[in-house]
Amino acid sequence: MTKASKQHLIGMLLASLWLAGCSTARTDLVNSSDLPDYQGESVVVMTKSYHAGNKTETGFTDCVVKSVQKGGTGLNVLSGDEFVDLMYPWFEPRTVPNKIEDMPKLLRNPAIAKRMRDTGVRYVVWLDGSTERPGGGGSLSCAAGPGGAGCFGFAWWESDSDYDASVWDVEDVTEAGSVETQVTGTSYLPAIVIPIPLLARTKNTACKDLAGRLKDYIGNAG
Amino acid sequence: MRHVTRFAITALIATVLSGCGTAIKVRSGQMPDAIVQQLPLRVGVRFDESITDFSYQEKLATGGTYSIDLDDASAEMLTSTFGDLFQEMILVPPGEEVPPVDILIEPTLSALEFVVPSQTISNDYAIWIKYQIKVYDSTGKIQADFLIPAYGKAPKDSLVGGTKGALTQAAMRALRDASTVLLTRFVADAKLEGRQLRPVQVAERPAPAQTEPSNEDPDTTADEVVESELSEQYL
Repeated sequence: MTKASKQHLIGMLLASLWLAGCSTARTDLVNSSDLPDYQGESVVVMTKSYHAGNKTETGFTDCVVKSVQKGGTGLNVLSGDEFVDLMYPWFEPRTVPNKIEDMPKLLRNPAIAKRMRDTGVRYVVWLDGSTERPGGGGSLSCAAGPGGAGCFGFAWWESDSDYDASVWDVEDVTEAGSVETQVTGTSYLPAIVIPIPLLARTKNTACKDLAGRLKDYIGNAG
Repeated sequence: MRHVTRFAITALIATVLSGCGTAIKVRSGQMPDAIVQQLPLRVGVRFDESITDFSYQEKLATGGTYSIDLDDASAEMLTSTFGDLFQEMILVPPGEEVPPVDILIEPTLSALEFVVPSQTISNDYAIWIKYQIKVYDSTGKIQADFLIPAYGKAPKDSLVGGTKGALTQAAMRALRDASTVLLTRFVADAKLEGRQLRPVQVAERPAPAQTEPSNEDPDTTADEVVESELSEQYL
C-alpha cells in the first residue's frame, strides 16, 4: 500500500469515526412530583403489556435494571419476573393495570393489597417504547475466491431509540412522574476488504440516560 | 465426474433443507400460587385426550414445518388452576364413574394456531390456544359451556435457543394466559356467582389508599364488591 493510500484510508476512518459520533440524545423528567426520602424501598422495573401493543425489547429492560442497581446510590430492585409471580394473576399481560387509575380497584382486594405490601415494592417503573430503524442506504458487497475474501462498499442506517419510564408510587397510589428519552443516531459500515462497523449505540445511550435519571429521581428524592 | 459430484452435493443440500423443521415439546412449568378467592366446592375434573396428549403440525407456505407437542402441559396447567380455584378437586379418569361432586368440569383443547416472523414480517412468534370448558351440575345437567381464549408471544431475538426457544416461550405464555383467564373469569363464565365464596385472608393492616365506592350497599362485603367488579372487568 502506498503512502497516499494509507493516508486516504486513515482519513476516511477518522471521518467515519467522527460521523459515528453524530448522535443526539435528549432525556427529560416530566410531570414529576417530589418523592419522599429514599429508604431502600424496593423498585420493580416492568414493561407495559404486549396485549397493549408494547414492543420494548427484553434487552433494554435488562439494561435499565442493571444500570439503576449499579453503584453506591443504586436502587434496591426486585426482579420483574419474581414480582409478577408473587402478584399472580393480577400483573399478567392480560390483567396488568394499564393506568394508575386501575390500581385502587385492584388494591381494594385485601389479599392483593397484603401481597403487594409483602413484596416490599414501593415504586413500579413501567417502560414503554422501542428502537426503530427509520432509514438507511448505501451498497456493500462481499466476495470469496480461491485467493481469499473481501468486501467493498459503504452502508449506513439510522437508529431512533424512543423510550419512556413512568414511575408509580404504589403506596400512595399515584403516578409520581415519568422520564422520557429520545436518542437518534446514524451507523456506518465502510468496507475496504475488511468491513469496519461504526455503530451509533442509540439503545445503549437511551438505557444509560434513562436509568441515570430514574436513579436520581427515585434515589435522591426528598 | 465433476458434474456428477456437484449434482450429488446439490441434491444432498436440497434434501437436508427440504427436511428442515422445527419441533418443540412444551411443559407448562411451575405455575405460581394464585391470589384468588377459593370456592368452597368439591369439583370433579375430567380430561380428554386433547388435554393429556396434544400435538400439532403444520407446513407453512412461507417454508418450514413446525411441530408443537403440548403433551400433557394443558393438564398440568388446568390441574394447578382448578386446585387454586376450588377447595377440593378430584381428577376423574375418562370412562370412570363420577364420584359425588358439586360440579364436574370437562375442558377440551379446541384449537391451536401460531404465526412465525416470516409470515407477519414482524419480530415475534405468537401462539393462540382455545379451550372449550363444559360445566355440569351435581345432577349431570349442563350448567355452562364457554370458550377460553389464550395468547402468548415471544420475540425471536431475545431468547436463548433461537426459533425453538422463542416458540416454546410463546406456548408457555399462552398456557399461563389461559390459566389467568380461568382464574379471573371462571366464577362468572361457569355461572357460579351465587355460590358463597371462601373468605379471603384479611390483611393485618388496612390496604393503602382504599377508595370506597360512594354508592356501595352497606350490606355488601368488600370481597363481594371486588369479585363483582373484577368479573365485570374481565367479562
